[in-house]
Amino acid sequence: MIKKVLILDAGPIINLSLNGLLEIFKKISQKGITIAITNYVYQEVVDRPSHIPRFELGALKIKDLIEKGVIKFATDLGLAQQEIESETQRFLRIVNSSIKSDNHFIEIVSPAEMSCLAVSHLFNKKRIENIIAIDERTTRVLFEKPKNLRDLMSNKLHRNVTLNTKELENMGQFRFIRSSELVYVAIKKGFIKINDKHALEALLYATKFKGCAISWEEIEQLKKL
Amino acid sequence: MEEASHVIEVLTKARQSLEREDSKELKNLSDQTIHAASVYQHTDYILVAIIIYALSKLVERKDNLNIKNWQQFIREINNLLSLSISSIQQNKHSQYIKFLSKIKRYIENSSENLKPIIEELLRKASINKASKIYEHGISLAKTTKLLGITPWELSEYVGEKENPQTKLNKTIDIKVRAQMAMDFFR
Repeated sequence: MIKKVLILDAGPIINLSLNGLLEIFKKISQKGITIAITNYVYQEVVDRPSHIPRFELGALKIKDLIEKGVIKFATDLGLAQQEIESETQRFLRIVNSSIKSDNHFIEIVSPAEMSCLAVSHLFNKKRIENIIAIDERTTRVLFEKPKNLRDLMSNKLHRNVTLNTKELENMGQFRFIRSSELVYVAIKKGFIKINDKHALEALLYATKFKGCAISWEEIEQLKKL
Repeated sequence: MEEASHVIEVLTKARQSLEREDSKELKNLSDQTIHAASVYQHTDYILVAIIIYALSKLVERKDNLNIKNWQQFIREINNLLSLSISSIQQNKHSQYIKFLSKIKRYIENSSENLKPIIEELLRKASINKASKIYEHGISLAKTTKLLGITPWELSEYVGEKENPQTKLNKTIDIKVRAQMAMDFFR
């Protein structure tokens, strides 16, 4: 019986792997929370890095977590590959037609990120509580505060960018956390035992330096909680 | 066509900057192509950005790298840049791509002894350009696909960089998100 599902995008898996913190996933799994990935994410965290000497060990450790059942494929959790793929492609089409510049749609996301949203959407339909862990900024900002993404792109591109949120709003509600929140929970709940008053800040800095989109200001706030 | 004239302008300026051995200007020119690379995501814009950035690094590290026949190397690159420009002016796109790829290969093979260093330099050029495209709002996975690198490489690189637009990255309050995480893992 699945109660809660933590859906992982590639970012947090890579982040915790690079920081030697994959142990957190074991602890989460032991708490009865199911951890899920999609085939697209698997390609990013195991298939591709397996051929790069620098990242091969990380890829093997992640593969081991999958083989031990700590991290599961969404298809092993009652979702059909066909429905995941169909929703992934639908989300991909909607999101990549939501931002326009010079009369041209800008392709902003890839199937890997959209497959996480697709899985979340399918679990929502089954009324299974879930949350998406994603470190990269674009997907999170697009669903939480789309105007920010429009303004960011407009500022960077020095041209007018238009945003169509109509279809995005119909995609459903998604909840996002990042590696920074994962390590925050890990320290608060004792999943990681580092007996030092600076442990939390060290963990937060570590996630930032491995690509988690969190600001220094947010880190300062998290440290005080 | 506006984008094509922009590429012509960038390549022409790159040729001049290479003659002057102006690595800073080459870097600026490389960044200028990022706007078009982010919007249109054509391989040619990305290739131009990588090539010009790699050239800026080669100029910058010229003395340390000690490339043999440096002047001949510059002449050959500039010759290929001219051919790329005339191809795009004549609307011969496949020929233009062919010359761009030739420049990349020429850089890769500029020195047998330095091949690993040059390859690393080109790889780093791809990661640098990827980080710029990511800054423009394209997702991390999408960016890595465009540049042919892995999210592992880009995650490390962007983590080291301070993003000046952090205010726009903020969406929901950190306390709310932290509480949401705590509640989920209860």
